[in-house]
Amino acid sequence: MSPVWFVIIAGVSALIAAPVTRAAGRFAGPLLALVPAFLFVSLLMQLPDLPVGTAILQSIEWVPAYGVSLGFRLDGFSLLFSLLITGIGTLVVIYAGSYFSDDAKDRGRFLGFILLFMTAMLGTVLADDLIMLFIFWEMTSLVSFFLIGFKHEDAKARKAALQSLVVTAGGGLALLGGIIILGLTAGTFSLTEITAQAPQIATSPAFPAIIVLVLIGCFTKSAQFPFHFWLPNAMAAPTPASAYLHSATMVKLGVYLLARFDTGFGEYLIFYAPLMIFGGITMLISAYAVMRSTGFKAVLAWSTVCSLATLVLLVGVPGEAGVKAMIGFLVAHALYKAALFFAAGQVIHSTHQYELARLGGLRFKLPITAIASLLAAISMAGVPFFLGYKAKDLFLTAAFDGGSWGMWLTVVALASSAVMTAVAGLAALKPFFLKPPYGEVKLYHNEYYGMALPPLALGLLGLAIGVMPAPAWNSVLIPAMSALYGSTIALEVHAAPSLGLKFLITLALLASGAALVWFWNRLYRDPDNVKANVVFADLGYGAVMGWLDRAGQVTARLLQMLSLRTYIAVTLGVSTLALLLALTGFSADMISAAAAEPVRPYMAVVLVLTLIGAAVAAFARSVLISILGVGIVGYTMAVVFLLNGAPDVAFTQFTVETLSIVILLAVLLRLSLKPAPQQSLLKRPLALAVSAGFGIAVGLGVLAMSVLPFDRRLSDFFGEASYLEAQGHNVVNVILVDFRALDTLGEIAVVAFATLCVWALLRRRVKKEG
Amino acid sequence: MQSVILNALARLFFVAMLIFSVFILLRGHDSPGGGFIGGLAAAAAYTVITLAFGAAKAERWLILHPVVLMGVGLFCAILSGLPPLIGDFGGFLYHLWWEGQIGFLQLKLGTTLLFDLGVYFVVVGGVLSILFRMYETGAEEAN
Amino acid sequence: MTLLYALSVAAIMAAGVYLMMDRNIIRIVLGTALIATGVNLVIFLAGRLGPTAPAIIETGAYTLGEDAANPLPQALVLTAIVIGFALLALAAIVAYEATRALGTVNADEMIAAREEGNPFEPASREGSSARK
Repeated sequence: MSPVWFVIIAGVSALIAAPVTRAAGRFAGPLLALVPAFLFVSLLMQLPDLPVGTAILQSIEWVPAYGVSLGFRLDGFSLLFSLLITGIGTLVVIYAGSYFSDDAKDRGRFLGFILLFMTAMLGTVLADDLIMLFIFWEMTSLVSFFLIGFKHEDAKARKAALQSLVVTAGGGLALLGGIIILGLTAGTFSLTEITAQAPQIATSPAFPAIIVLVLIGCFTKSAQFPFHFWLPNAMAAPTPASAYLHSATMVKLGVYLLARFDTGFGEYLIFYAPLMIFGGITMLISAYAVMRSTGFKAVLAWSTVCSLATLVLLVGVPGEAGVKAMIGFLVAHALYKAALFFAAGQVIHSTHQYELARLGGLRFKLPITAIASLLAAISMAGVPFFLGYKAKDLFLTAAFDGGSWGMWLTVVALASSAVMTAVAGLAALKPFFLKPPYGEVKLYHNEYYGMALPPLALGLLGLAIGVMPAPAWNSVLIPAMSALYGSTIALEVHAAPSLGLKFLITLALLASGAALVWFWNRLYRDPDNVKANVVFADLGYGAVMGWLDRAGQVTARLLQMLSLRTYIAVTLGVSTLALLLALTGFSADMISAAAAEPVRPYMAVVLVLTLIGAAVAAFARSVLISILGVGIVGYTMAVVFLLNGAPDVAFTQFTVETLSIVILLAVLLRLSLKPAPQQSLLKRPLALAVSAGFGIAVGLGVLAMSVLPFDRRLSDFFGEASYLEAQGHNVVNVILVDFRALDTLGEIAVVAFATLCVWALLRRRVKKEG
Repeated sequence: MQSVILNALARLFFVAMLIFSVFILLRGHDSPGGGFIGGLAAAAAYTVITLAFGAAKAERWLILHPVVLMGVGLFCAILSGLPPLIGDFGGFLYHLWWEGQIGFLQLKLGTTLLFDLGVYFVVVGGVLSILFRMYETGAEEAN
Repeated sequence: MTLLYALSVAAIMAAGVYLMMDRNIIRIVLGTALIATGVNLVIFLAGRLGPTAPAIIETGAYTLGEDAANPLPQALVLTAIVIGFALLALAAIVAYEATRALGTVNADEMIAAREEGNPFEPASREGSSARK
């Protein structure tokens, strides 16, 4: 099966999720889970076709003009990610089916979103074309927005959803900028080709900008400092979404893209230094925050931030050791953290209790969940014979080989992370195996199997890979490492721990973790707790959004004065100045030259009437007289047209003027208003100045226009072709109905629609009164 | 408005102006005139009727609803541009001509006439849809 | 002669702008009508004046004579006049409806009235009819 089919099948399943759920009822979860399960198996069957170091490339032309194509790429690394997406996706769909057992409508909506998300994720990790990758990337942000705001009656959920969208989609814009600059620099949007020509790109002056923009995009997605705050808030989402999006897969997209770039750009300081620095800062912040968190999901969320920071840091660690540790940790974390989220969801769902401190002693009430939780936590803590141990072992190795520059940073961050991870793992044991501090926890319903078996499966998988490492490592993990590293990586994995310094360190980490759990209740009671939570929360985000709000208000107050007079004064004042500026080249000679022209007496009389009409229109006290003035101007114009060889125009002007007056009078009479008092001339200096200035500028413009040379070509063409080509003597009419017929068609359409508007507006009035 | 003389004059005026409007529509291609002017003249004719006898009567004399008339006009204008697309004569609105003799009548017809007729209908319909509405509304409010 | 035309254009434009800066919404509509007329005149003048015979090819001739006026601006102005009429009617009716709904011809008061709420919603419509 070629890569594009995975995306298409997932997308179709998302579309049919809602109706299928309605039809299938309680079995909707397991039924729809067949889709991701099928994809998972199909992906596994790709393994033999994909020896280490190869990739399946597929390209479909999309926008050839801009070099954008639907380019897909399936190599070891994207296969690993796809397996995680579909594998955990299968469990999430089953789990969600039980989680929403009370509400069929919510279930359909949720499953639709989850499968849509899976589509977007598969699209992102299978994309080779960066533009396509970006589109799927933004799609995951959008679905995440809907899932965080799933409980849309809840203001907090809406706020968190908006925050995550602002942060991740905002970062997505930065990423798009980076991708476009990169594409222009490299001449291609294909990730494969860009990686191949990395050294040339690195010498281009745009390189720093590309890296900074891409880093912003990845840091926002993977919740790295200073954008770390959105992820804990995103816990407002239903727990299956938290497990899937905000722990196992979506938030790892940042890491995914960083790892992809690391293949080509890993040796450049400008790329790996920020990863180490910001990854390290995020680790410290989240390690501290997790100790101060009290909510069950909040603890898991902060530990996820910490794990993501670890991954970012490991991407930054140069060389083979970093890649090995990154992949190992990535898989281990996805398995145990999803399981812990699943367990937390079961606990919260059945007890309605969100606070970790109030939970305890649930091991006999939720037995399967307790076992699953225990398995996951042991793996997380890094106990031998579990996948987590091997991940931690590789992590320590990478830290010790971290190179001269990052040595101290790596070791420090490592220690804090290890302690924090152990704490989170053990804290997950508290609800089940420690004594409840405030008496027995009330249970609203018994364990749901649909919610208990998925975490158990993940927990057992962590144990299985730990005990029997060869199949998984050799066929999936090591190919993924090789794909990232660019050449084959040799790694032998044994189930038993190798004794030595690293083993001792592991034991020390376990001991310190246990000690922290022991003191956790005391830490929790710390009165500074609340303040400490605020410190690392979204104060900065709130401030920035507040400034934006205020800036918007100030701008609106400045620009939107709600006065037509002011708008006209500003617009026409500027136009007048621009016009006068453009006319500076014309001397006063043109006025005298124009004045010297012979005057046609009849025309002069007509134009004097025009002047009188304009003056009457402007200065008459009564609106009725003003209409008369406008009429005079219109009729004199008709005469001007007639005396200048335009009988058609003259007749049109004459009729239109009459009809205009009929309508204006009808409006005026209908309103039956008392003559509106008009302010005296002197009280309106602004109107007088603006109108006089504009009039003079346009008048001067007309004079200047008349001395410019005239291009007769078009007019001459019409004069010559009108009869010979279009069979008409009346050139004006021929232009209208033949040469420029399409224009005329558009114009009569405008007339039709404008009058239709009038007709509809008046109909409302008639109906209302009738 | 109840003057007998005015009423009689209005009818006369109406018929004269309507005939005049069709006349200037038809001759528009060769002499001053055309769809816009013809349409405005026809609208003026109905305006006279509206002012003399009221919108209801004018609307009856129009037969078609003015908004429908606008639609017919746009349809005619678009239709006139289609024939060249059927054969290979040129693009949309490339007008075609037919010259011939029926009995002793020398005729020269073009698709331009249909186009101009469309313009004529749109202008008549547009002006009158506004005018009739205004005077219908006025009648209701007067009651 | 050009001077006189320029003066007319200036007067029409100035009167139009002056009316558009009035408070009375009907005068604002009149201002737009005047400006439309002024612009039509400018377009007409842009084709240059001179020959005053209509732009019609004489019987027997095949091309337009030397003494005929420039047909191009005429065609442009002709449609502009009709469109101007349709838009003037639209503006007049919108002004009429606004005046009816808000009970004032004063554009400033209309803005103030808008702040009070949507006149087309039942609650405030009762308010406006009470004011009448």
